[in-house]
Amino acid sequence: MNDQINLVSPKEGLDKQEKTIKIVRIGSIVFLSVVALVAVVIFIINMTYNVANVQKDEESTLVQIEQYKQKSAELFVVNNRLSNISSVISKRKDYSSLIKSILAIIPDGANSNGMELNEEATSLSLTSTSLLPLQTFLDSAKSLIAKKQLIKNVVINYLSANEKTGKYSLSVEIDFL
Amino acid sequence: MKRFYNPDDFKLIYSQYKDLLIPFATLVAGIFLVIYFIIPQFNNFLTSRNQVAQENIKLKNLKTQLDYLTSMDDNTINSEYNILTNALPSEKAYDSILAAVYVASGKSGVSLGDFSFKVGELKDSQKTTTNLNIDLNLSVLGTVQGVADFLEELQKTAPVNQIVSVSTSSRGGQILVRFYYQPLPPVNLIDGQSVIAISPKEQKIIAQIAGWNNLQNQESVAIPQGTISGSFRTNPFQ
Repeated sequence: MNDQINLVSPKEGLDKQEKTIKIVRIGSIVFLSVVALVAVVIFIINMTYNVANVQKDEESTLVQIEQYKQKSAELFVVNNRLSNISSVISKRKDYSSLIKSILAIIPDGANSNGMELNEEATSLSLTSTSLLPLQTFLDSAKSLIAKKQLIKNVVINYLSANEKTGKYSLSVEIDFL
Repeated sequence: MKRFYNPDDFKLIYSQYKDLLIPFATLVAGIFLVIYFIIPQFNNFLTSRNQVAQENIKLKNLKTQLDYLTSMDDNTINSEYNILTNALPSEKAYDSILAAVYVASGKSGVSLGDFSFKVGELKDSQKTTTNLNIDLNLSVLGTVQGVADFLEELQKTAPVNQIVSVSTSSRGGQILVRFYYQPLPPVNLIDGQSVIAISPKEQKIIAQIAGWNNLQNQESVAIPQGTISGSFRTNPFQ
């Protein structure tokens, strides 16, 4: 009668409990095994990722480089000289081309009395027995300014005439591009 | 006196849960392993990985430098060394400066007039990293075109120089030229950091300088002389 009233028999309850314990046991063993495996793997990886090995390679390469000490020293000086020479070359102004460019636009009949070239400014004085070559020079300069070639600006300092010599003098200040 | 705990209760609890004791202990051991071994090892792995990556980059650079040094021709580097130390002398090279002026005047067809040096400090600063200079004021006799040619030649003549100012007249010109020099830098070869490869652009600059005048008259260097091309000897002191 008792067996008929109790839906879960004591034997069945016991089986279920044993089953649960078994699952818990297996689960815990699997968990520990996985953890142990991960620990071993991470330990092995750490052993392979050893900085000391790379540093050892570095040291041996440095020893090899040491054999080329003379070459390295020469290369160091070459690089040093190169950078210094390049800096001088890059900042120097090509006065030769500027003078030649100015000479190229001085027409026949006008003579260059003198030129002053420095970092700040360039000045030029011309003489001629006629005003026409001086006008031609100014027109050429104006044309170069319009074409944005070489010259940025020209300022006339003075234009004078000398009765004794019969010559006209023109002095200009030139700004180069 | 009533006891705080009853041993029978423990026995009862033990008998009730003894089957779960080992799995529980196993779980606790696993958790301890995770906390005290795996997590620190993982952190260690991350740190090591970064360190190894950095050291590998360093190693790669060193190998590249070594390859560069082994592939570099001895004569080429000697030659470049000589060309550049002559183009930028390590000390005040008056003889070289005068030779440069003579070479330029000879090539441009102008005559030289008076000249004067602005010496500056007599004691060279060995620690300087910037270029030091000597100013030379000289007069040139010839046409304006001749002066322009002289300037052009001077710019292609060693030691490296810069024209500061030019004043021309119908008889020639007055020129202020700045000649540069620089003491040799202390060579520091720690960790191969000084091995910097010469780029193709820099090679072009060297080739351009190699074509300069007055490259033979140079200061003596401890390194064997290489072949220097594009130069000729016109030292007035020899």
